[in-house]
Amino acid sequence: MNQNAASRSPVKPLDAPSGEALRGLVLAGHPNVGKSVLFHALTGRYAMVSNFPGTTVDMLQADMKTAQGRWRVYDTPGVVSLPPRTEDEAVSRAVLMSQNPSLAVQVADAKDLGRSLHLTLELSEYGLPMILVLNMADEAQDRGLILDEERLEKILGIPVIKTVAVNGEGIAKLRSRLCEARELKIRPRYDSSVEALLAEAQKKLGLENSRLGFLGAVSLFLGDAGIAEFLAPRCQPECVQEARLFAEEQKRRLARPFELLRYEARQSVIQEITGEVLHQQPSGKKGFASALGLWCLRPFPGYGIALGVIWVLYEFVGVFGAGTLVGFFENELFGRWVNPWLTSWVQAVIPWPVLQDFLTGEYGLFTMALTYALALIFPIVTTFFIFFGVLEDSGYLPRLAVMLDRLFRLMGLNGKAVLPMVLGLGCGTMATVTTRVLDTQKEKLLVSILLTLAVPCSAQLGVILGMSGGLSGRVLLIWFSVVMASMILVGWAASRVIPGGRPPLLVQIPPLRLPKVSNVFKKVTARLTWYSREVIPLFLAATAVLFTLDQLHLLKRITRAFSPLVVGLLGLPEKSAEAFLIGFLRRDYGAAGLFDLAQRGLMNPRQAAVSMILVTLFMPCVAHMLVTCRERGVKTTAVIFAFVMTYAILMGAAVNQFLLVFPLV
Amino acid sequence: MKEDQPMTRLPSREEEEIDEALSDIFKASESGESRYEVLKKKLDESISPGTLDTLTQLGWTVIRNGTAVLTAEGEKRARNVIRCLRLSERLFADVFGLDSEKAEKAACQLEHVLSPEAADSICTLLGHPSECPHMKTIPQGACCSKKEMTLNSVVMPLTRAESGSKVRVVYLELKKSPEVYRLLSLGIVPGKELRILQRFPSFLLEAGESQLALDEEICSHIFVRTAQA
Repeated sequence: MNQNAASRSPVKPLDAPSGEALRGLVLAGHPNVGKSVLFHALTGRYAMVSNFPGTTVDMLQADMKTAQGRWRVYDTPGVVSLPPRTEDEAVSRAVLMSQNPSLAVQVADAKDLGRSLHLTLELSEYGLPMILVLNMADEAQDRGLILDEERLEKILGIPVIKTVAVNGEGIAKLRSRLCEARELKIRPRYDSSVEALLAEAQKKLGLENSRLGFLGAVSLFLGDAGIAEFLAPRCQPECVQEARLFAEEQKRRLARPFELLRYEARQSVIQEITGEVLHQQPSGKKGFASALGLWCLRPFPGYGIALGVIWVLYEFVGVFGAGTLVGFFENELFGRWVNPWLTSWVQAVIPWPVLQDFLTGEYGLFTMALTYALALIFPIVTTFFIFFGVLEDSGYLPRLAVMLDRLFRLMGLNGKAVLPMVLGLGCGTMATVTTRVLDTQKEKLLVSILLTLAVPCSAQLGVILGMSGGLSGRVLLIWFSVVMASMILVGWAASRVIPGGRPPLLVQIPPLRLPKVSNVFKKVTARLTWYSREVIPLFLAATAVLFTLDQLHLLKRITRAFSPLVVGLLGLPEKSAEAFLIGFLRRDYGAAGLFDLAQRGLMNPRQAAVSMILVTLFMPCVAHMLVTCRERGVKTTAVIFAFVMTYAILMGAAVNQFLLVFPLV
Repeated sequence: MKEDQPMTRLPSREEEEIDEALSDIFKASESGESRYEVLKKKLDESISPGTLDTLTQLGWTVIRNGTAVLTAEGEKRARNVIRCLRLSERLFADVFGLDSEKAEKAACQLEHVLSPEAADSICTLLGHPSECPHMKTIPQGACCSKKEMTLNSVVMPLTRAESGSKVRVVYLELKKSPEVYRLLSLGIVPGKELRILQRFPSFLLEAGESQLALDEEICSHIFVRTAQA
């Protein structure tokens, strides 16, 4: 990503339309200010939008055209401050430093101008022409904030544009003014003694009076070693080393931390600006939303509300999605219409029995793969994503993080882990990707383990709820207790084995708001698109493998080979080995197979309980495994999977023995 | 949006000189001396030439019929400085047992940096004295009229602050927990006023327009004092 660093050219003039040249435009800003919505509004492409800090995981880019020319827009992960302290921030910095953009558009929260301007000043150190977008202007107005953006524009010397990105307000204005971007006129007001130190460090870098030099000096004083990479093309490693030592030495002599001095250097400028451009109308009474927002955080009724949310999850995803919708799709639509019609059509058109079987046989692409994918899994994940989208957009998730912080503490995590963990209830693969929002390696590893072991994805969850539907509530209770206990026990043990401390909780709580239907809709479609691209090919591949095994009569042999384990140790029907086998290829697919067995009445309550536990603990799917490899490395992943499989089988066997001794009535 | 004034910034040299000059005028008036010529000469020597006229330009003093008198503003500021000075003398001389020369020197430095609340705390600690060791009057503060006799800890970790109370950040322990650095960018900095909305299951703070949830671990590195209502 950094090979362009050397060729970083001075800022190009932006006034003239630049013909067909593609110019880079970086969207940057604090987490949760609407960068992704703005990205979408500008480019028509969609980045996951959410009301939980830190959901832009992979950096997105898309091209757009305006009257002034063509632009490549980069949507960067949210930054709290620069130079970076987290991986997300490092990504954003890398984009600013090495993608050679023509301008930076800072997306800021209009409700908190002071904080936004801190980042404006930090961004200005990157020497790009800038535009300041004050997003969520409607919410600011609701709070009685009056902001004189023309005055602000004069002071800063850059375009300042108010927007409400969710409904497109101000976007046209932003597009038309891109070429007016300028470098920021104001700069932080450091103490003269600090200025002298920074100048000295610049001199040691051999980059006097240059912007890169200043940025380098500041970064070194902040102890940011990552800057060396970007300084490398311009100065000798010895110079960087010397400057670094100088900074470390001088930093120790300062009366107060450099971080604080830097903050104050900005604050003294910003205070004057906000005093001049910002006025607050005496705000009336606090609304119902803010009261409800506070209730969600109090033990009472907060935990009650959390339980209520889980109940809605059960009703909507478990009962409505996995019950009603799946029933309709599987039995009615596919069972009575689509599959019989497809089967007869295939038999009429295709003369070869093998190919007929391949398409519509027992392990047929249509009758198995597509039926499972579309009739069983799709309704479940769709309802889950709708539920999760509403939760995300409402701003409830950070509140849940606060409420669950103490539980997560047992597992060496903090409440922030709630995002990947709850998303894991939708899709473990997707959730593993979002572990990047966590700050430390230890947390990422812990969450990856727990996602593999104890967090059932929505398909599994739907299947589990579906399977337990006809059985006594005790089956569900046993499943829940075993899975929860496993999660806490393994989390607790792992957090003690893996070196590193527990990072403390520090989350911003956004205001609670009524979810916007359009937002939720966009999110659900984006997630479903991702899911379909990921799932359908794997379903098809898994079915093809099964079909081949069956044709070669290997399936029976494999099933029989595992039967001592499956039938003897775990006490399950022999046929379920097949489901576990498929489960390797796609965890929800295997779950669907078990669901099928249970529906056909091939399992007693004990077997249902054991297989529900096994499905939850054991099933690692290929996609999940691949993503874990990518995020955690092959070796770690191998260790995780070996552990999870052993643990799951032992736990399944234990539960089986227990239920043989104390049978479920 | 009103940003809070950082409280930890040291007074500049000019500020200190104004304090010094105003307290000189105040002391002179205690002994009945307020003639312009005399004061001007005194300040020219002790501070720098032209000081008295500068003070007049800045609105701290007025010249009337050949006398120089403190304005209401000037008097208020002078009383504060004198109060801090004489309380500090008491503190160093009587509580810490320094000899008078050292006590005076230390007090001279302390007078500029004590906030009114800190002065009240020292005053309460000393039982609201009315005279300094040199038997000069100590101007009274808000605490004296209330005759408060218990001293609240001036600064405490945030973990000790009560739910519903308003506090002001005094300092952060930055080295102990790197996570605390993130507080800076969230605006939790010395001088910032916070309202504690709840303490359980996590601390919930209102800082300006935003709400933050933190656990005790972080809160134990944030030191605050109670903010006056």
